[in-house]
Amino acid sequence: MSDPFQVLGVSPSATEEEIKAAYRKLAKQYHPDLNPGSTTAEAKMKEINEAYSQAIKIKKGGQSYSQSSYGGNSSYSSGQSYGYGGQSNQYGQNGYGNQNSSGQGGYWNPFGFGGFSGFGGFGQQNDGQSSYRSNYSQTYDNPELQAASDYIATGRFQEALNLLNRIPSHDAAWHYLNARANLGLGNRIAALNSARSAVSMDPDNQEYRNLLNQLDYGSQTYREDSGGYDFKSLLCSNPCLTCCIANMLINCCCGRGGYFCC
Amino acid sequence: MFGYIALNTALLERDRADEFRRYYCGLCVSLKKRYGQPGRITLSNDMTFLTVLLDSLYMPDLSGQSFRCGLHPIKPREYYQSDIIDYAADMNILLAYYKALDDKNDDGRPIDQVKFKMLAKAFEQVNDRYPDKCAAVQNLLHEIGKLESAQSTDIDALCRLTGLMLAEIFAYRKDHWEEILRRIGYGLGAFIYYMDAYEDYGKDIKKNRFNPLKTLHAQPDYEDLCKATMTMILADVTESVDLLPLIRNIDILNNVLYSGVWAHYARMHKDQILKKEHTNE
Repeated sequence: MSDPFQVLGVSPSATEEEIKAAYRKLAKQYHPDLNPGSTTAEAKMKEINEAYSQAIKIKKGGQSYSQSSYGGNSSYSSGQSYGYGGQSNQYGQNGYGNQNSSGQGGYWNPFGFGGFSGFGGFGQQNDGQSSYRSNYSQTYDNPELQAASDYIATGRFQEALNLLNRIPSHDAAWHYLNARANLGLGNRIAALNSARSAVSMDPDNQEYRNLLNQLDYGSQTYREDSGGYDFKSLLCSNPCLTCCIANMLINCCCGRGGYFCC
Repeated sequence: MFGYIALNTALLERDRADEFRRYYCGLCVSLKKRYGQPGRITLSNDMTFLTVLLDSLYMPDLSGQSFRCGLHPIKPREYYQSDIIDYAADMNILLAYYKALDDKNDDGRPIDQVKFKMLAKAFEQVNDRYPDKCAAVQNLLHEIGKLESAQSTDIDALCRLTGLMLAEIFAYRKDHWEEILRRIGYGLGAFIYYMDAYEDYGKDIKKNRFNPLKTLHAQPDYEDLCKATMTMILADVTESVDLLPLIRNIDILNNVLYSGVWAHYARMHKDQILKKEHTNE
């Protein structure tokens, strides 16, 4: 595979903005609309697209990845028509859990809200994956928790969850394992809730904090990037007065001074 | 559930809001051209966002024109036309049709019947054009309905299904960008489901209706948790958007994703927000 930066005509130290601008410049040149029917333009466009994605990925601190998918788990790339649970038994007794996650709970995948936690997360994911297994040294006195932990370590998240759901008392360790099991199945909302509970109940436990940080990683970036947008500004607009009156049947854009209602 | 993906016009310059409107009007025109007046009742901000997103990604050559809208007879309005806008118009119909179907079956109000009938014909055309998409959306809505009827509190599942539904809508073409677009749609779908459940909680409980957040509501950290969850969901969206080579209208897209989507949330917490501002001075 050729050097993506070279294809785009930028230096490897170019910023993301520069990479995007370079892409745009080239895309304009080889745009299919401007070169109808040209197979060379089409091939070049493909090359540019791949180079772009590659370069951006590198910029964001991840590794190079195959063109077909970001997480390798995606069924889109394989071209199979996918349901909403993937292959078989999507709505079976296991609910909508991702049967194929095999420990890759951090990946985004179409089978679950599998939290693609970004390229930082991607890089993290690989580290996280090894720590998933090797640092998973914590043993539990409670044999049921230990069993759940073992299930998780071998990627059998649904079994872990089934087991955990039979345990009546929900201490910090229970929540931690519950979070991991859910994360493995792509249930990031439940995972976040349990991770928060685990940390809240046992604030000194670094392993619990690490899990919460992993889930919260993207949110941190989001919060930083939304610094310029204050909530108060969302309050000050009045509903538009010049909105059309027959709004039962017709939604329409409003005049100035407020939202586009609808 | 729809309407959350909107602008915060207070934080956008007038000319930028006008730019957004060109797409919005473009959608309206496309709906009218393709589906007649009934089509226009489906016009939404959500699909306008999709339009701006796809337009920014594919950068079609836009031909702006001036026209006098029947609803705004005095001031001439400009609008854009493109295949993308036509696509978004189709998706408008798709979503609105199934939503009307849903509403009709749920509440059975006369207005729902009317809406539904109006959309049925338009929908036929969309179904012909995108049979797979329509089938997928229909199935997903059906599954969501099943879970809701069963009073499921599995919010992950519900968000996932809604996410997959929007992913279908956002998947404009089978190309290099399809996966990221699906991911964006997925996150937004999850977000709107959650926000909808969150916003409707009080109303649902009062009317003794099911709400999937019922179990979570009992937790003392419910408010914090909801905010953290919705932020987590949106973070996926913004991350994915950032992977795309977007330059055109990125300010509009960011305005929606970092601010506009929180409009209803902010209104719910109006007093706290105003109080905070006051004490921070």
